[in-house]
Amino acid sequence: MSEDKIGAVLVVGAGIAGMQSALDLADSGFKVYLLTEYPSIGGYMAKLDKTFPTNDCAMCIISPKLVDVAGHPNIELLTNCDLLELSGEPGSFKARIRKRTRYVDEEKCTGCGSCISVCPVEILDGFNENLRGTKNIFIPFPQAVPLKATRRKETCMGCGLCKVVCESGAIDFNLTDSEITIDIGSVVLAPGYKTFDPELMKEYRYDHPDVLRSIEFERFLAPTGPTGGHVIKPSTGEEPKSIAWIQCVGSRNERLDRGYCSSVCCTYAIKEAVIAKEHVPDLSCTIFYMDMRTFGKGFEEYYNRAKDEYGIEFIRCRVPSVKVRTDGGLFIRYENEEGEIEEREFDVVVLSVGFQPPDGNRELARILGIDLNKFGFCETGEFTPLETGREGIYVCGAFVEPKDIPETVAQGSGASAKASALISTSRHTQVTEREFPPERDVSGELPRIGVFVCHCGINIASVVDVLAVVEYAKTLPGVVYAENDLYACSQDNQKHIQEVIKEYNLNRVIVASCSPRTHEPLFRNTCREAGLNPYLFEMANIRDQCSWVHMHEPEKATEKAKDLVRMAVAKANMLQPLKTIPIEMNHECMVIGGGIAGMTAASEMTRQGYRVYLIEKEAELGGNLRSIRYSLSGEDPQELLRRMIEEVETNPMIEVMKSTTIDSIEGYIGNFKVNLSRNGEKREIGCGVIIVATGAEEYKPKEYLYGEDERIVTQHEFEELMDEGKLDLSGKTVVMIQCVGSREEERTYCSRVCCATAIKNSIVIKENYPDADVYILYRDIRAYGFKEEYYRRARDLGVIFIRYEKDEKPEVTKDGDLLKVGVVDQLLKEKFIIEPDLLVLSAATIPAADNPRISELLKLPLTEHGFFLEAHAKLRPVDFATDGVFLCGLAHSPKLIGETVSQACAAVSRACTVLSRPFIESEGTIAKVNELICSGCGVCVAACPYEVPELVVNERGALVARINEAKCKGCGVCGCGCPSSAITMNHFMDMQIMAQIDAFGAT
Amino acid sequence: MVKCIETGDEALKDLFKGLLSSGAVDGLILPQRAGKSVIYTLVTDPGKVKDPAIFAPSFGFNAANILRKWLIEDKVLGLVFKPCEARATIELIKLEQINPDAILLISVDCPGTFKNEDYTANTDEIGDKLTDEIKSKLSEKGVEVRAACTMCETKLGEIGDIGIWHMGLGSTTVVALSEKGEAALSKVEGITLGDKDIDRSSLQSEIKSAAESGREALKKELESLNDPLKLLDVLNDCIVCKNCRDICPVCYCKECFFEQSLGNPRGGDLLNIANTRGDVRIPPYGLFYHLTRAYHVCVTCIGCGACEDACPKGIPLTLIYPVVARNVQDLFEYVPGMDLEEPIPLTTYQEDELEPR
Repeated sequence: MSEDKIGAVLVVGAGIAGMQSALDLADSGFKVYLLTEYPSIGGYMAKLDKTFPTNDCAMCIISPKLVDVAGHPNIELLTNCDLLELSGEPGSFKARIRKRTRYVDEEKCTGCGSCISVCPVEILDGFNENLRGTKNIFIPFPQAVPLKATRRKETCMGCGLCKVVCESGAIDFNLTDSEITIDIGSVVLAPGYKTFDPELMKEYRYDHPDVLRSIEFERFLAPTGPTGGHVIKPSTGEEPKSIAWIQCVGSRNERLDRGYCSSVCCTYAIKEAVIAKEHVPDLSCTIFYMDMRTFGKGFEEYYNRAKDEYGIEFIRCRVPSVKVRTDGGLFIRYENEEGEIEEREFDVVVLSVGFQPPDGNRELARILGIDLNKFGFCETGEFTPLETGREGIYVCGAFVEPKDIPETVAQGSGASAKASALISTSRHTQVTEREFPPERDVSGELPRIGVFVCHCGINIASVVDVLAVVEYAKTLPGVVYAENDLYACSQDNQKHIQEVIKEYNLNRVIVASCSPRTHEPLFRNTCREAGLNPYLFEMANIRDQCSWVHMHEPEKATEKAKDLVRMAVAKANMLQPLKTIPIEMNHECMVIGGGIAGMTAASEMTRQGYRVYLIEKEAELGGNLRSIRYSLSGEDPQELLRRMIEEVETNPMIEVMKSTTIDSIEGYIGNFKVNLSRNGEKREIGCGVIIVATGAEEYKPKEYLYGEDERIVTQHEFEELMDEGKLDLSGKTVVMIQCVGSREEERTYCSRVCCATAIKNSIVIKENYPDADVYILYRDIRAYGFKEEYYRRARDLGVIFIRYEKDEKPEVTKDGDLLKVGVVDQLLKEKFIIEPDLLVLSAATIPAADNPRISELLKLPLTEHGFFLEAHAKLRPVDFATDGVFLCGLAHSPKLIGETVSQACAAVSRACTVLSRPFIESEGTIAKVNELICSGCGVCVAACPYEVPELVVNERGALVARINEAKCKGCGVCGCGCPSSAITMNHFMDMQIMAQIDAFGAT
Repeated sequence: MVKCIETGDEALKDLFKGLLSSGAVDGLILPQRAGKSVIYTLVTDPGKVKDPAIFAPSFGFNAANILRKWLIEDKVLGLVFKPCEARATIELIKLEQINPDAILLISVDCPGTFKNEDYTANTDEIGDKLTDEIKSKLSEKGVEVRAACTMCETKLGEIGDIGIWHMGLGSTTVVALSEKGEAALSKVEGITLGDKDIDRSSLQSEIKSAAESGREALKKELESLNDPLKLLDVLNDCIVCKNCRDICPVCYCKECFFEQSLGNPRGGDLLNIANTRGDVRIPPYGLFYHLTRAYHVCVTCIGCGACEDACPKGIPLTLIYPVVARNVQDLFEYVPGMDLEEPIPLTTYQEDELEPR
């Protein structure tokens, strides 16, 4: 290990995993080189239309991240680059990198697109899955980062037209590839995945134009796709009447060396069907599947809605085949549940193609000296999913195992924690503070407003007459400049806005585009870059609140857009610059919960250099891990438990507080005060961040005679009995029942871990007692990812899987001393009676009983089921809406040990983005009390959801409300409640709002 | 079962004197007779308790109005209040405007009131206690009980620490309603409380049904204002004198928004507003003023109707404030001024509070 560690990290791959990793590292004081072989960052997520289970627009939520990466002073983009060699040792590596030339000087190119418009050569558009053409000199998609053109040399005919039109002289055919060497302390691998090529399976007739890969269909759904978001039958261009999805294409297929499940296809197929139905309301959507694997948070409910509300048809069958009629029509031949062969015609067939390792995975493994598993994914341990086996190189995302976006984001953050722990002593050594030019004093100036009206591609411009809005804006009081922008948020446009601000000496800026929720921070920074106080910026939402909701009334929508702009201008005239205030902070962390999630978080936190209080309400550490005695891969969970307990208990930077409960938590990010009780002894501690790792519990079943016979146990109980040698199952019969208390009306979610647990334990039984009979009664076997392998192994060992229906549950009875389990086999449609010697119930994972109390103490939301609700289901899986508080483990949702470890590391990484700062900065948009007017009535005190205002007697002896600037979230509830207008909401002042209302009423 | 003492009307004077002289209270807000009128006095000298007129059906203003900012800590003020005044007091306690430890709240039965000028003009005919007989006699003369009283459901003095009851009873009875009230009464010489069964539930249901029909009638009248233009028609006569605000017991702001520059534009500000709209009414913000006030008081309005009495232009403010407020309060199932522990709806949030819509 090198003594002088380098505070820089190379992130290989710039999809959502790599981007998240890069942002966390960069926000925690490390220099990041973000490398991708592609001309733009963004990865697969940028290609998706919507995301499950919330149906958020993928581009809308990834675009702010793209911009964050693009504008981050600590991130250096290495796009169109290849990693050639890694030398050195952990903490001090050297990476040799080839920069493939774009034949375009990145410094000079503005991304204006002129070259593209004149290029006469059409090539297939890879971003759109080759469904349409693009030019030989191209920008992959409008929000691409960096927004630079790239020329393909191989297909260029060399006419040079592009060079002629390029006003910045950026294009140079003589540019050549170059090599650089960078010094880094560690490496994060996030090269992602590739989708399966169905050409390999002729039975799917991918040669037919109406047979599409799912990612192709995704592009048809997307407004930026080849049809502008219109769902078509490609062979005719007409709207289809029926679409079928075929699952497991290239997954769960041993014959093709893809004996794993791709984990996401079930839910993405549901999403595609639901969205397609929103596009074409009377469309018939059918999904052919083997097991419906909707195991993620909120997925089962999504599946139920698809069935019940959207009328999506689900047909369970062996993988069917696609046939083509003589007239070219498509039909699917499949074996129905009665065992009969049926045929159905469809206009379009979508193949739900699985994941496979990215191209170049073997080369990458060779360069880095890491191992791949038998399928070519990165080899990792069951309990160490982020570690490659080579110190200093960490891995995340789909290259570890196929996974969905939130898990990928969590692993991106998690790998960032691993990579930075190694070099934490060199934090802040390779980075420079982001510096903004000094703020221009605009006081005393008359408003000079610039209005930028965004087309948002076709999102706005296809409905609203953008040019008419621009012309109208020019007539409004205070407006000195107005223009239209194709994408106001694109990176090049930020520079452009800055130039306009300077050229026209603007002192107020309005962007009429989308939501301030996603884009206000970006434009505020743009104002800062131009020397304007960021609060001199205002947005008019003419997309979400106008073009999207009035798409069939373009004229009225244009009028409304004008109204919105006029109101924004009225407010902008009144905008005032606001200051942010630096506040001292505490750099310690409190972790609530001493299970595997909490212990991992605590231990990783200290590796980052921060002290930890680890609070456990029980007398012992370990939580649920104490009951887990076996693993799928053969690693010993109890060894992990012993190791972790020893680590946290002997770590001088961790204070472990067992048998301790939390009485109260006050304060805010950077300055929490926590009151604790331990055996009646009170204590107060302070911390800057809090990680919630309160775990979950195994449901105590009320069904299947549980508790009435000692031969009926839960999986946890089974593992303990088995491990402690209390079971002799030789020649015995064991029945396991799945979904006990899960996927029911009162608990609609899937508990995720039970299928893997049942498979694991059935293998344990069969390996120890080959003559034992093991039956697993299931609804869907959700052996996602590489767990499919163990499903197969269990079957090979003779474990018998019998499927039952939700409304035809197994019946457990006692006949004298005999246990009887009756089940109707759905394949044979026959009722079986099994007489087990042991009945193991796969009981649901239910939220910890303490969750409501913790949620109350910290003012955190819970899901309808009682798990903690993260800030955003997709992109902020371990954050809370409350700053400075993070989430991991079972408290979030049921998950396996490795997944818990990933999330715990992620929470640490997110917490480090806070603790690595020297101080906390208060917002400008906060409430202020005018104590002269305040009547001290306390309405604000009661109304504030964050309990910020308090009543105090001031120096003049008056009872008045006080609002702590650092705690105030700027929600404005207090200001609305205050009858006296004694509370001023900065940036939403009465006079600003009244000006807006007046402008609304004005003609 | 209540702890009480039958005093009759005469002995009440001694009770008030006794409260002062025993030190149970440091001062007493007490309606007294002054000529043909009833006035409020804040009495500290027992000798100044001359002619209490606590049941006289005369309403000039809601006396809780003067209690705003009664935050003194070491004195106790006895309040001899009509139920609507007592209720306003309780709302003001909830709003931190009155220190609950600094008051002894005494509520009296009130079958309804006349405007104080109507009462003064007809003192001899009306007398000390209002009866249905007197009501109809006066009605023939064209003198009506105040509109707000016709929808009042809380006519019984059962609010606060002590009640002084006469309705439905043979003799005036003083009742301890709280431990604090009991302690205060026990300090007064000559007062010995006894347990007694008094059941006025049938009286209360009569009051309630009369109030309901009164309210229905007012709601019908309100329908005629159920349109912005019709409302504006009525408010066109408003001169924005803000008397209704100043007299309102639950309008407690130290400085009203409509006294601040934004709510009370003058000079150039007024011209700016005219410029955006083409014209502006003067004085400005009549409708805005009333809508804002209606919104501010709609949950705490105890329906006393003082606003209408205070209006120099005869605008039917009982419709705009108490009747509207009552409709809003029904939405939140909130009865202002009855229970100190019941939070004001503005300060609470329940996901289903407005369901079904």
